[in-house]
Amino acid sequence: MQGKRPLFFLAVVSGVVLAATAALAASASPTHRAATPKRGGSITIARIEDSQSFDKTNVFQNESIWITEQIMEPLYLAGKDGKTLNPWLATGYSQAKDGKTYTFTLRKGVKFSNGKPMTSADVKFSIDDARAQAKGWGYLDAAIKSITTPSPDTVVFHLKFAWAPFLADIALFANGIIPNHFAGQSRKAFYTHPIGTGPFMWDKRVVGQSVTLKRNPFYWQKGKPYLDKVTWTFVTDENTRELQLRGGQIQVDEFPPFNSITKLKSTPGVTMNLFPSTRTDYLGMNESYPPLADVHVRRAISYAIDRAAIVKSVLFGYGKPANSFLPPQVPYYSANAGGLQYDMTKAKAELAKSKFAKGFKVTLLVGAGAQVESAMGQVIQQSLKGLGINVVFKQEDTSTEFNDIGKRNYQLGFSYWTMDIADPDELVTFAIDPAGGAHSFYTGYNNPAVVKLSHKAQRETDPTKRAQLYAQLQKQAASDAFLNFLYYSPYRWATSSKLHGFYVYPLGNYHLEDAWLG
Amino acid sequence: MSIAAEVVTEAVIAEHRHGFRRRWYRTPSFVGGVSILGTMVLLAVLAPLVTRHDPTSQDLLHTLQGPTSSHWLGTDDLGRDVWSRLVYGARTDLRVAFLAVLFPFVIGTLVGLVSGFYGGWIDTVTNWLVNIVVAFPFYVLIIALVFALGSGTRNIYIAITIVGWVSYARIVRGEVIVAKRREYVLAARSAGLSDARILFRHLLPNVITQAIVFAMSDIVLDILAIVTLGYLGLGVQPPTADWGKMIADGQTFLTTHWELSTLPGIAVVITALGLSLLADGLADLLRPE
Repeated sequence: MQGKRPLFFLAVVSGVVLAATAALAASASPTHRAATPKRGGSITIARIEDSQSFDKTNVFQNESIWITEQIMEPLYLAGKDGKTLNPWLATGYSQAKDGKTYTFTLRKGVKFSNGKPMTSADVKFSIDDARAQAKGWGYLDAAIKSITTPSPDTVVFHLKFAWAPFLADIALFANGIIPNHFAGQSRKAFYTHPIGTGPFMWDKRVVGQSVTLKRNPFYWQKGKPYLDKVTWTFVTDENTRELQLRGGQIQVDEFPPFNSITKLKSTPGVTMNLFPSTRTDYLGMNESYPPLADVHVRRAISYAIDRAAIVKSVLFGYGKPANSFLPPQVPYYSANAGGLQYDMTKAKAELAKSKFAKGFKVTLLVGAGAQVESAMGQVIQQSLKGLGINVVFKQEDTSTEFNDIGKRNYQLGFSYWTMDIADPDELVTFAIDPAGGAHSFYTGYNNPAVVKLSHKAQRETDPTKRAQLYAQLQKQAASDAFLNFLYYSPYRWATSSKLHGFYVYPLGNYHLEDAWLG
Repeated sequence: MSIAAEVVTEAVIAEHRHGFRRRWYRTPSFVGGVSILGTMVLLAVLAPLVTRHDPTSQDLLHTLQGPTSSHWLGTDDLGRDVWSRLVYGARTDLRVAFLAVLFPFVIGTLVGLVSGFYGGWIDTVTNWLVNIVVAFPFYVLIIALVFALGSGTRNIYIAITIVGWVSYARIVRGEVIVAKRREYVLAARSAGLSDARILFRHLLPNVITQAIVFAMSDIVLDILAIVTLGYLGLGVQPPTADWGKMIADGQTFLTTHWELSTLPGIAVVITALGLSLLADGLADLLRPE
């Protein structure tokens, strides 16, 4: 999801996990004994913000989504590479020749945390409810025409047209399976304490403080989860989170700041994890401000930003300059997309070609208290000064900033994206298709040739041809400099070295059924 | 008769001035305050001479470096010289604070003079306005106003003026109510001097002392407000150096480079101490015997 706060995800795994988990555990603690998972114990995860909602079909905030994923699971999940899709609550599927009918076989012996078995009726109900959510994630299910249930363990999806991202869409957390008719409750009541097939089940929530889940005794993966309870707190101050981790009050610190990574790596009792992510950070340029509608101006700004210097000074080297609006962990990312890189000579040449050769004044929206944005903003301010572009800061609290960008009430502004599905379509539609609901990532960018490529790629089921289409699309988008692709950065999670098997997937989610205390 | 009244008034002022000259060096808080604040102001004024680096110029290859002969206090996360930013920050914050105290001082004093002198409905309306503003806590109102008006120094002046004038109005009004019954005013009145002349030539010089003393402690509040706003990202805008922004920028580095936030914090404390001492000293010196 695009974000400031919101974001999203889904994901992954299969048998690979156990092996990988063991490997990770082994790397965290070299003793042989530590590699065997142990039952029992509770952990606390301190996060940057509180959860907003547990309605997986409508919520766009990571801090909510990552909890719902412990309770509700979809039929398929994206794997550790963020690209492959593995069977989860389904064991497999078959596809009709026309590409419009998918038949899934459900896994046997899967039970909800209330002890009732999962059947095809629950699946149909769950996905019908998810796709009906017009303001939520329903748009990703738009290709579905109808769902039928010929037997208790068979579900058939009939599509309106061949749709390449279908399996990835089914693996979205919003398509997680819940009991038919919300287990007899109202929709609203159900999502205050949802029920699912996941490793953990609802325990309690203290609004504004914490959310606690406990072990689901009916979980279908034998022996899992290992932990008895997991509590999520929220601690906005990063220094406090770090101190709590070092003091043993919490076992997981969500997003320690870049500058503390090096120190945490050598802190005894702490494991500093950097997981490959699908996060890309951008500087958005709103084309409703006339200078930014000029492609030469946009190219000039893109050339003037020293991404390597930003990565070095703001991210302390823990990132990579971006060359495409797609991140490397997403399928069909093109390494040759040709995103413009730092070159002041070219920047000046591009600005000279524009109608604003003498420079202009532009406002940069910056989140109050957002240290990375503030630092990057000041670097960009200094770079653009060299072009005669006068950058003025407008500071707003981060939620106002997020809303203003969403309303296109800005000139320059920071935003980022992390993938929710293992397919580029979600981001491509959001970023370049003016009809995608976000005015091309809130920039107003509209290049019919690029939009046409995207539509073609959606219906192209041959992976090689799809890759070509997306490569072409990324190249044209980069040349249009519709967004400034700034950098790719890993997910940063500091954990207690007693905690094993905690792994964050490229889509941002983590599988707590694999986590255990040693 | 009018000449006599003016002679009386001037005698009162002269007595104050005389007392001031005689005792200032024997008032430790005044001497302390003047020395601390004087040093600060001197550094701020001579900023280009006492620093070797532009406070806004970045050096992304040399960030977060410890003290060296070139960078006395090291560099910050964008490779800017911390000493330069501290000194130029003093320049910004002191200037803004002094100017921010000037507007409420002038407006509040005038309102207090007029409402105290005339009384009646003018006084009623003024009191009513004063009570409304006083009902809100100082910082809450300032932050809310700047938030509504938008960040930047101009809006800081506006917000502080809207909130700050009431204190001066109250102080001056109280003084005027007492002073207007004193003989020199009655004398001036019966001599047929115009209201304006009585207000500005006779009353003002006698009631302004308390307002000046208060202004000194008010600057402390203003500096804290400006630094707070800078810290919240609502104050002086980057790249201009400002202590509040320095504290906020350094906060992320608290566990690795504590000095980035601590040094501007100490600067705020020292400045506030200097101003408080000065206010105390002035109050002592100007208190009628």
